[in-house]
Amino acid sequence: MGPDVVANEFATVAVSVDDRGNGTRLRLEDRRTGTVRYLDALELESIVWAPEEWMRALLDPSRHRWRDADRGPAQESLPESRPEPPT
Amino acid sequence: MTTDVTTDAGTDPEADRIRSLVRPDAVHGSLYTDPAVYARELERIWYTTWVYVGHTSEVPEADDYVRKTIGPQQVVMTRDKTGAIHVLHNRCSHRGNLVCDADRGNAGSFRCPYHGWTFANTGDLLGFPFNQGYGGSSARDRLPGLAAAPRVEVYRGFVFASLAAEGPTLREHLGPAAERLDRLCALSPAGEVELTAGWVRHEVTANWKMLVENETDGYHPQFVHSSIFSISGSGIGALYSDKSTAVTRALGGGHTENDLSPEFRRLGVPMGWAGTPETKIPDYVAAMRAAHGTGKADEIMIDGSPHVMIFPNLFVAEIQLFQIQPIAVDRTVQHVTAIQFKDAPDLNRRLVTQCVGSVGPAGMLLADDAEMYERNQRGVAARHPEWLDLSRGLQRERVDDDGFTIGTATDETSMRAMWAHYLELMA
Amino acid sequence: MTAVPDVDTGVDLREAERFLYREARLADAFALEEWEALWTDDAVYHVPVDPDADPRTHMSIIFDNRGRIATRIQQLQTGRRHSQRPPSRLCRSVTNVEILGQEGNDTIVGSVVQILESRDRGTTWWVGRVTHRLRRVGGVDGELRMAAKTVVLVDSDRSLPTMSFLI
Ligand code: FES
Ligand SMILES: [Fe+2]
Repeated sequence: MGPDVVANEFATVAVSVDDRGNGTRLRLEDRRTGTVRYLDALELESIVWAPEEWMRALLDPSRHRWRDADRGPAQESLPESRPEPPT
Repeated sequence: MTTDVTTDAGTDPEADRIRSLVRPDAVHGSLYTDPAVYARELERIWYTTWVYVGHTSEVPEADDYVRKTIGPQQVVMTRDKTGAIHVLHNRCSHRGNLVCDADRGNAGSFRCPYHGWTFANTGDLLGFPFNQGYGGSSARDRLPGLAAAPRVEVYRGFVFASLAAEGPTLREHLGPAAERLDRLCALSPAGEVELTAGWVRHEVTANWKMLVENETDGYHPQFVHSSIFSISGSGIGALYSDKSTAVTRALGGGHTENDLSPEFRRLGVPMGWAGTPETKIPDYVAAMRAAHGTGKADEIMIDGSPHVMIFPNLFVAEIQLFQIQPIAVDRTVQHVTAIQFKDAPDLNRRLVTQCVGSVGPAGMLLADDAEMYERNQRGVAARHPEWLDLSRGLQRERVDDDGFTIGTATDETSMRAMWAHYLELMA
Repeated sequence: MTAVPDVDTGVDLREAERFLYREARLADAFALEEWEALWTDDAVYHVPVDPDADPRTHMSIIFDNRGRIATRIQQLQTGRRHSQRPPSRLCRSVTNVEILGQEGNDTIVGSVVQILESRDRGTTWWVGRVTHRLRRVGGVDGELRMAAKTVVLVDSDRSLPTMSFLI
């Protein structure tokens, strides 16, 4: 069975619990670019507790993916923000 | 959203002209065909008064949204993280792109596909790509977000919006029509309606007022629907005969109803109005009696559901709900769904089956209504005799105990009332 | 359900096509009794809005059991079905016929239908994917009947004009 997919008309992200490491973590894959990020339990807990303002700020496209070039490369232009561990 | 300011009578030639086109007992055919009249209707009616947009049950969870319409305009109805309902214009504040494409979905924020401007489902602008072009992220504070309908109010789950910043409250607008929605909701053991059955969209080549007038026209069913009444042995035809004790009632504000409850009471059978014996829906009947007590529950189930046209676009016809959407002077979409009552699964299934048989492009009732709207529209393109008659029952109209003007089941009381209100808004 | 199954359905492509073409011709011509006779007693005639939704809890454009198919035919026969007075002028083509599989004794046949409907209001082009559930009745040499017909219109969830002919 493949990963669950959380999708709406704006984004498509595959979600799975990854247990190849010494413990479990969440694997998120942006299906439209292939970009992957892992979140461990404490990171997830922090998101749960993060104020709404923090989430709104995260949704500003200029903050990360579409930053102006003089403020450092956009993450999307990197090969993969968090490389997959070898299998 | 700005709207025309009311002009003093006599100084607005268009108002004078429209006033000359509506008589107490007749209306002029050009009111259905003239693009200038339609343009004025959009401003003065559709973009000013309260318009039905959707139902809260269509966005049950936080961050749910559905695409809806206010006349020809696209809007998105959202529920934000706090549970509040918003009605947003589906138009990006950057260069006007359509923001939401899906009919429904779950999203706390919307990202425009054209240049990536991103909005919260409250309409707030959250950001845009490469913000140095705007001098940094602080530009967010001076640039607009998605435009929200200035006024959104909810009555019993029914969401209405007004694109005018000021005006009567929704309760004032609904007036006694609100009690008809109460009567509808009372048919649920939980007191709530749910619009969860999805929509059939039926487009007709006719002016929207042809539909509004037809919804509470008790004169046509015996003619237009005789084919199906004769086969199914349906009692509906008799409800709209000259022997019927049902009445056509003007509720004020352009709202009208065919009150069939006198006939349903004469019948005196719980759920007789739905043509469903209680033995077929025992769970529903038991739940109603448990919720209201047997006496009250039976009264509700005998009186039945309303048949009410809430001006300008919400029509509740016993078991189905129609939303009327003008898209051009001679084109209208009728969105229709089966009404579902919360906590009434056995009844709800029957309602879907019944409704699907009746409504929509292939419906055994509505296809023929639609044929009449369209024939009417082609008919009024011929310019004589110029006037459409509205006089039926004028001489026998009376005022009931509650102070409403009523006519018999087949009288044109409702049309006259609709047009009187129309004039108030238009002229 | 894309490959032709190993099971011998007893219905080959040619016979399925013949059935579909005949059904199309009868519907175009409003040969009402003959068209009605093509259905089995447990038939379901379905034109969904959303083909993935449960038609018992969701709106459809048509969702007829056998009784309601009969009612639909009778309504047309009254001569007072106003939306079919005069009847639509129809010409439909049935293409892309494939045997999709077998379920029990029924053969599932897929096709594409394109219908030109001409009325005083104008001309409408109806296009959809059709699934027929065909069943042989009356023994091995018996005739084919429709146990179910589902028409998924390309624009089923958009605004549609009146469609009161037999699709
Ligand atoms: S039009 Fe929407 S981002 Fe440009
Ligand atoms: Fe009607």
